[in-house]
Amino acid sequence: MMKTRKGKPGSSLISSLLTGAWRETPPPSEINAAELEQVAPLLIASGGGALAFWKLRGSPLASTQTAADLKQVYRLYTLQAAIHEREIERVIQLLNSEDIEPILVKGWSMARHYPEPALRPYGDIDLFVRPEQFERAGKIFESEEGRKFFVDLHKGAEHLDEQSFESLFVRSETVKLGEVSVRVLSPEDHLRILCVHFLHHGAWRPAGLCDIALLAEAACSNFDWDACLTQNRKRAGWIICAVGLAHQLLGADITGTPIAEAARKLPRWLVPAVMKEWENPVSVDHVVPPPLANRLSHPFETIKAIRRRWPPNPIQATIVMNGSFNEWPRIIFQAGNYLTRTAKFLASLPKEAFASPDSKHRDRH
Amino acid sequence: MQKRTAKLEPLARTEGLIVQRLPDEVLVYDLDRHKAHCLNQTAALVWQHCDGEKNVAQIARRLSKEFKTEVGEEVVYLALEQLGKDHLLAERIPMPQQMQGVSRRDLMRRVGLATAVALPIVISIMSPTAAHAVTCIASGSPCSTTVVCCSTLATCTPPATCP
Repeated sequence: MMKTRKGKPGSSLISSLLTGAWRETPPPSEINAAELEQVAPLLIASGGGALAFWKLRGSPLASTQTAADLKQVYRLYTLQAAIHEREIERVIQLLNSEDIEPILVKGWSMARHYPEPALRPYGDIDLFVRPEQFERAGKIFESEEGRKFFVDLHKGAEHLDEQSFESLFVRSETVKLGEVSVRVLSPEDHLRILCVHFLHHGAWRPAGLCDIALLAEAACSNFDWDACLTQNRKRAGWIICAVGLAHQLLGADITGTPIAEAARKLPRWLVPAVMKEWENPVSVDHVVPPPLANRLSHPFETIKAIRRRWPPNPIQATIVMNGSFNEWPRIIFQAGNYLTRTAKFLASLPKEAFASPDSKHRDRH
Repeated sequence: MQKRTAKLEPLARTEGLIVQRLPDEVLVYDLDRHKAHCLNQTAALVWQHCDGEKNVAQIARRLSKEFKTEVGEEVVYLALEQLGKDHLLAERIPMPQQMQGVSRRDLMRRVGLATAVALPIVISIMSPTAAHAVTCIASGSPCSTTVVCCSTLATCTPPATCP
């Protein structure tokens, strides 16, 4: 466990430093220079560096070398945001020219809610397209120009939401970005998708919880909580837990929302599970691990890789196994998740064993 | 040196750049070279006045007015030297003879002693395109699209594999 000289774990420091960091005027920071030095690398590597800089502006810690490093991240994200906006404009133009109107999710559509779009890190451009247009849209990004963009196309909302593209589209709205109109999700749909996405990835990214905190706080009187939670009670439970985490770990103000009471009663295992992830949010365990099939010719490596996969993250395992966030021990979901993955791996073995390296690569993607 | 009036009219490059103005500095991303720069207030003001019409002496006078203190031509030259080196000018401006052959460090010290304004500084920051560390992929993984490898933070394109 990563601890500071005073013994505070890194996860507590992340939680403290990011509390309210998404607000125009964040609350004062409660950590000292040594603790900042300890926690900054974790925040920088997990995408929370600019938020930490924003929180520290004007505080006595702002003159430290660590704060200067965080400012470098902020500068970097500022440029990244500008580049990202230009890319989105062009990507939307390319799709519109083929009569495809996508819905932009996460990324800029979330960043625009922050006091500055540079406070949030950028990855690829996530787009939902109508399932029947998916193939045509994919071809655009195989063209010479299209290949320049980091686009993650989704057939409808597959893997991210149960709602159909059409129902998301009906509730969506358009916002102006330079020369184009960008279609973005309604706040209700966006909050739901961000919550599920955050949990599906094992809740390891503190910056992801800041997105949830920001949207939950912004949910005003006309926010339709029924539309956000949907009829699926299990999913509603996931969303309430994610908002509850934003409240408990980052101080999101959810007073007055209909889920406030439920969000304060988190299962006892949940906060420790998130804090464990935040102990090392830069761990290689959080990036896509190399496929086991790559290691078949090295038995020791294979055993090591199998060991590394146990125990699975309890939050991720619950979501993958479509479980409920309750007081029951997570071992059932973790074991189920592990066995499912093992079965998938074993089923792919004959194909992997006889495939050439090139075809292995093609099949996997 | 103070009295020397240059006849050169520097021109700021505008094509292929993304410029973001922050309260106390200007960030520039060079789309052609994939390099990012941060200009402090003095360097940013000099760059802003490089319109191809004002010469070095005129720029120095404008800076004096804006900073409400005497700003010498050597401050402008120091900025132009850095801006030119980082390809932020349409053309590099040669340093006057008195300033040639002097190390940058000595120059900074000399100019720094003679002026009350912050010396012009252009620093390089990590290129945004190489900063996808959040979504980097692990060693040994094939690159499905153009991605960044965690091990090197360098771009990896199909069909390569991250080292």
